Amino acid sequence: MLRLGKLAYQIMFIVILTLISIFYAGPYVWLIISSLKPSDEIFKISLPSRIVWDRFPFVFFSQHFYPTLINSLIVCFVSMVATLILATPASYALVRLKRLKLRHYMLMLFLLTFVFPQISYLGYIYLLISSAKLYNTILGLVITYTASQLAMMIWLLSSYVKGIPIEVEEAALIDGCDTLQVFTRIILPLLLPGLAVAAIFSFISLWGEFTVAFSISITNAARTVPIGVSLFTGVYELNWGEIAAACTIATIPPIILALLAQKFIIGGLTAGVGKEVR
Amino acid sequence: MRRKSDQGNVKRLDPPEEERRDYLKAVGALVVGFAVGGAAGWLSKPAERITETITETVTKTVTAPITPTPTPTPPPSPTPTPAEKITLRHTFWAMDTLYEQRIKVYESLHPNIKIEPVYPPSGAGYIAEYYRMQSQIAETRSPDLDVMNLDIIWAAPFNKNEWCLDLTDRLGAEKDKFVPAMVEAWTWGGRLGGMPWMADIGGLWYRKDIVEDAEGIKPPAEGWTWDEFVSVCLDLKEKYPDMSLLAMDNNRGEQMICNFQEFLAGNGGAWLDENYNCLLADTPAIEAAQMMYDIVNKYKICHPETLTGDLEIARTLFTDQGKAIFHRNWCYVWGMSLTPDSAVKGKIWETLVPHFPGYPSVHCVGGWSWAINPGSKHIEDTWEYIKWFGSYENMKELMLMGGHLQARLDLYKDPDIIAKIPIAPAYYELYKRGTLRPIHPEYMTLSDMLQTELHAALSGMKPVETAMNDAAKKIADFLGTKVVKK
Amino acid sequence: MSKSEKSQAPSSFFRFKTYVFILPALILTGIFSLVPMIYTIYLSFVYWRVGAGSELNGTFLGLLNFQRLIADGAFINALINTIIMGLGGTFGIILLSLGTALILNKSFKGRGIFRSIVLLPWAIPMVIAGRFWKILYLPNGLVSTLLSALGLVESPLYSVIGDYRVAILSVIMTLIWRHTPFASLILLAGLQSIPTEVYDSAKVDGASSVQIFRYITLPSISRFINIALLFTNLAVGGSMAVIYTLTAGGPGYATETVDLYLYKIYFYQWDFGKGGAFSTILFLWFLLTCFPLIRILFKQIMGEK
Repeated sequence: MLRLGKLAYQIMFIVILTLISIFYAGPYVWLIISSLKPSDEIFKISLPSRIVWDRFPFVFFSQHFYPTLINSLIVCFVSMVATLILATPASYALVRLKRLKLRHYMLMLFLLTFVFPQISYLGYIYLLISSAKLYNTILGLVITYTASQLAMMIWLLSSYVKGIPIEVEEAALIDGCDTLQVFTRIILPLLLPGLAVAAIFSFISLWGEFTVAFSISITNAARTVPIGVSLFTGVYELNWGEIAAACTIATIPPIILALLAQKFIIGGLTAGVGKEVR
Repeated sequence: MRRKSDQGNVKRLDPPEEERRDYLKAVGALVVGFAVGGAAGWLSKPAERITETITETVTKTVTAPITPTPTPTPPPSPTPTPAEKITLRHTFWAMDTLYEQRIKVYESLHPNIKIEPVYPPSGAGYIAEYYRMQSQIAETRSPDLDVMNLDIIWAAPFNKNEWCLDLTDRLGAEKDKFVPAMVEAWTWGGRLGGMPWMADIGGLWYRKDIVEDAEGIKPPAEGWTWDEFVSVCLDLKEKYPDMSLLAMDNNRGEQMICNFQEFLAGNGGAWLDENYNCLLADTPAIEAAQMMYDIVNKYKICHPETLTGDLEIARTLFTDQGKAIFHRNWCYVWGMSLTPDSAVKGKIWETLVPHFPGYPSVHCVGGWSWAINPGSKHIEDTWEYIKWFGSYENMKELMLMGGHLQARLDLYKDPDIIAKIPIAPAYYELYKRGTLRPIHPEYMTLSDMLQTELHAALSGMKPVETAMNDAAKKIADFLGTKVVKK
Repeated sequence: MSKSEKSQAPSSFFRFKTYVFILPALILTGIFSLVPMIYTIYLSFVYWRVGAGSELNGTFLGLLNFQRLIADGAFINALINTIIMGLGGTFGIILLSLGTALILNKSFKGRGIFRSIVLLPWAIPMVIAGRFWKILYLPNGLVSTLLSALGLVESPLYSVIGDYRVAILSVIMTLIWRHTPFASLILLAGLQSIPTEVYDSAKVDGASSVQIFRYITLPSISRFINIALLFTNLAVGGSMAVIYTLTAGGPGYATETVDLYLYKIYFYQWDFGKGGAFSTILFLWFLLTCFPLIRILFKQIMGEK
């Protein structure tokens, strides 16, 4: 009886696993298949009768696409780094530096701005960036993205900082380090998993951002990949094949990042967030 | 069984008392804040003053001609020395290699000018973003854009808000050479904000080989009435069971409103009267909507899947797969039918959209126009560029190269064009029967309100009459006018 | 110690070094988030329309913007749709992510592949996801064919997003697909923080799997469920791009959410006063629904104070 139960349990496990996997991966696999199908078959539920390879080179080398890919890579990477540079000291200060007055209000501020609907900012952001003459520049995008990710990152990193035992810091202070040294020598190394998680999360969130990017960029000097993907129409026809190919190419960087870092993400989230439960 | 509290690192499930208290405090603070704010607002009694002024602003500024804010005469742009390069930025409505070729021609004629085209994201879903992008650049008078490419429905908002330069003096008498409906749309509040470029007019495409040759049905010169058209279709349905009868796009979007405009105006109806009261609850409108509903749901001439499809899906059904007999679309279908993907080369023709008895067939006019951003730093150069691009020669070249139809009426009588595009004279006739969607600065909102209600009716969410009444009431409330039934 | 003496000096409030840690972040957030937030709240009490003819801009209106908004049927409809989507989406996400997290917690062959698969929807940008889910939902699309093969609908011509009764379910499905990965990761973190001794001792005591789940697992991760709820709440509330691509507001108005309607008030009507009022209401709504969760996180981060 026990054996039968165990076998049934295992079978059920595999079935559920398969179903969930199909649900998560199915649409993406279908997207890739669509990008390889001949155009008249795209809307049919069938495997491709023949594989159309030339879409990928066409899309990739199209002058409307690869600049956006490069821009996205630069913007997302730089924003990610900038956000970390700004958010890490901030979260340390909020959590640990007890002599920072008003820090409760500051933390609440970061939490609150995260909750406000983003659409109301669109006009203001355009006005701000435009009057700073940063319209249609990578710098404008980077600054905007950094500012938008700060609240989230501070929030995330604060829980990691909280997880670092305070005894370590106190030991360092007793040994004669000042605040900056404590931060750079003690906290930062211990915070690395958290930083990795925050970095990856930030990058992937920014990669898919459309509305703000569209507000402050107008040509391929600053346009990012979500906009680039949506440009694939002929004058009339919605080239689904090309759009699928563009989408596939556009999703490669974040997916590679997520796959490479999955151990990190899962392990890192555990290490940081888990420590709160105390 | 271990008790929960025995686990060292498990928190209790019920929130501690102080959290609940804080929550209640926060809610209380909000309520008090609102009460205080509301009382303050009530006491200052702005409501009566403002409601009227709002209505006045919305309606009266619509009727009154605009006293243009005097644009300071731009200092005469110094004739650029050959070394000085100017870049003109130019929005296009879609990527098109033909236009890029013409741009290169212009650049070779003017070596010091570089034209930078800007493409919008594709798809009906992003048109609103395209509108927002150009509006915000124009509103802030930023020099980031020189030439704007605007849909006809944006003509009134752009004119009212002075987001485009007044071209009355520059165009002068030339404006009569363009499609009259487009010029009419762009002339609002006493100013002409845009120069028509690409003209779109709706029509009923059909498979000549099936309808005329196989069945011997000749579309009447004045167009069918809807009842006649329905009976023709139902006959054809039996003979061609695997073909779709009418491929249309009735998705919740502007395209559906274009279709509806033809039903409405073909029944002698209108959206608004002279005083901007809403006429959409009146009999012509309800009959028009009812016919639209019947076509999809009762007679099933149009598949219900058109309610969620795309214009392109409908068109590919007609041209690329050849599985539809009739197709209501704009004029570009002709060019599409000649591409290698098409299965209907030489087999299609266009005729008039059906109408209601007693009223002529009318066709919805769409199209895109050039406008100059008032904040542009190179206004004269931009004007020269638009003038060249919108000249007879360039437009003819574009049409001959297979591009989209252009907005100069004379082109359709040009023998070279007729030789290349045999259907051109038909377009000329259609332009004479054009109908416009309402030219109102708040059109985007009006359209959205009607889209919501009409699509709800077509999808069966509510009866047609209720939907039209609701739409009329919404529009009237928004404009501060009344619902009127004649 | 010289350091602690210095920190007790009366001028410690203005100790620059303390603030330099947080000043850049504060300034950036101030410019990009705080100022527009306050300005938007201010705008909700005045008349403000973009464009010419705006001499009336700035006139104090009290609560008139709010009144007009609440009297607007479309607003109520959008609110109801958002609530339905929020409830359905959150419910689905929590269920699915709980299941996924439990599976991920076990070690089995192919766990690495499964983990990669789980991360896929998270890595794919929203606008792209919207586009191809739309194709899946079209008549003769994957979903309709599946449903008709299962016998739930008559024919593959049935359009899941054309039927106004189920359109909102389709949108919820896409949102669930998109947001479950992150929620699963959060719950997984929670699951992995439970030491195995707890399970062992429970098994020694003779508890069945169901009992273990109900009395040990769930309470331990309740905090994490809260966090996941918070994020999914916000994500669903800010999902304008996806919904616009999928249904543009749906058959009629069946899937028009507050995000979409807010966009229309801002950029079709150019009424920043009403838009401000709407944003303020949304802000208060998110605050109220997320407040307990925000408070918990706040307490955690600030700790014993």
